Amino acid sequence: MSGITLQWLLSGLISDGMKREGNFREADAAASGKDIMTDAAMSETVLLGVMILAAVLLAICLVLLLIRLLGRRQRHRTARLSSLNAGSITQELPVAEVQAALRPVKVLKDIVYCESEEIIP
Amino acid sequence: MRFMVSASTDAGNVKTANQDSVSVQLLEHDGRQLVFAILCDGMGGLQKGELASASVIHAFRGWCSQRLTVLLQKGLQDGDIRREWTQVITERNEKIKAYGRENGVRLGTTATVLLLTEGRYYVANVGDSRAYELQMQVTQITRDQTVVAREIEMGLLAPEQAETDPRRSVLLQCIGASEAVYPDFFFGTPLGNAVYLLCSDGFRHKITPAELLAYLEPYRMNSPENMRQNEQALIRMVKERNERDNITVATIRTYK
Repeated sequence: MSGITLQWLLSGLISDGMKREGNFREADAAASGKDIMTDAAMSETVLLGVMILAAVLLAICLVLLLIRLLGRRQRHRTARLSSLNAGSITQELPVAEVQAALRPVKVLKDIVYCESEEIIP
Repeated sequence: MRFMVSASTDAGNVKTANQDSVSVQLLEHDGRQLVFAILCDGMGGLQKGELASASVIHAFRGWCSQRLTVLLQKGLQDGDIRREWTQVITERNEKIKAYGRENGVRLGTTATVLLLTEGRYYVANVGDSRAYELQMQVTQITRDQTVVAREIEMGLLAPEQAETDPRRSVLLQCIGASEAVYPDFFFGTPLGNAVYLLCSDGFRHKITPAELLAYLEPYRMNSPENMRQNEQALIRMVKERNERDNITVATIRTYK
C-alpha cells in the first residue's frame, strides 16, 4: 500500500471532517498528512503496522467466532446427560437410571445354590 | 482391589433337604470389581425352609440386577443401602408370612447379605448366620440375633455357656416368621489380602476360630480351586464332628 493511498484514506477524510466542523487548522494539518493534534507528520510505517494489526485481530475474532459456533452445533447434536440439563427437559428424567442402563454391571462369576426350584413371588 | 469367590454347601449328616441357599456374584462395573453375596438358612424346625431361603436369595439377586448399577452410578451411600435392603427384607417378610398363612405352613429364614467394593463393605443381617473378616485374626462382623447372644450382651450368660446352651439356635427374629423384621447393618473398609466369609450356623458350631483361620487364612486361599478345597475340608471336619444341621459357607478373597 503506497503512502499516497494511506494519506488519502486517513488524512483526506479527517481533513474534510475537520473543515465541516470549522476546525481549519486541524483540517490543513490532516490534508498535508500530519497529526491533527501536533502537526507532526504521521509515519507510514506506523500506519501500515496499525492496519496490519487491526486485520490480524479481526481475523482472530472471526476464527474464535467460528470455533464457538461449531462447538455449539456439536453440543446440540450430542447433548450430555446431567442432572442440571435434565431439569430443563423434565424434572422426572431418571438420569442415574439411564446412565446405569448404558453402563450395566457385568457378571464375571455367578455361584448360586437353592434347593427349592419354587420361589414365593 | 480384586476378588476371588467360592461357595460350598452340604445337607449334612441328618437332614435330607438342604434348606440353606447361597449366592455369590463377582461383578465388574467401570473396570472395578465388586462382590455381592447372600447366604440364607431356612429355618430347620419349620416346614419349607428351603422355599423361604430361595425366595430371599431371589429377591436380593433381583435387587442386584435392577438397582445396584443405579446406586453405583449415583455413588454408593450407606443410607441408600440401608433403606433399599430393609425394603427388600420387609417385603420378603410380608410375602413369606402371607404364603405361610395361605398354605397353613410355617417357614422362615435368616439372611446375611454382603456387598464388597474396593473401598467399603456393606453387610445386613437377620438371624444367626454370620459374616467374618479373616486376616491375621478372625473378626466377626455380624452380631447374632439370638436369645443367647442377647443374654451374653446383657451379662446374663458367659460366651462359653452359650456354646452348649439348648437355646443357642432360638432366634429373636427371622424373615417370614416375625411380625416385623429389623435387620442389623454393618459398614466398614475392606482389607486387602483378607478373606470375607459368610456361613450358616451349621458351619460354625463345631469349629473354633483358630481352625477357621488355619484353613481359610488368606495365604491358603490363592485360587478359587484352593478356596473350594479348603471350604470342603472344613465341611468334612464339621460333619465328622456330628453336626446335624445343613452346612453352608461362602468365601471371598481380596487381593491387590
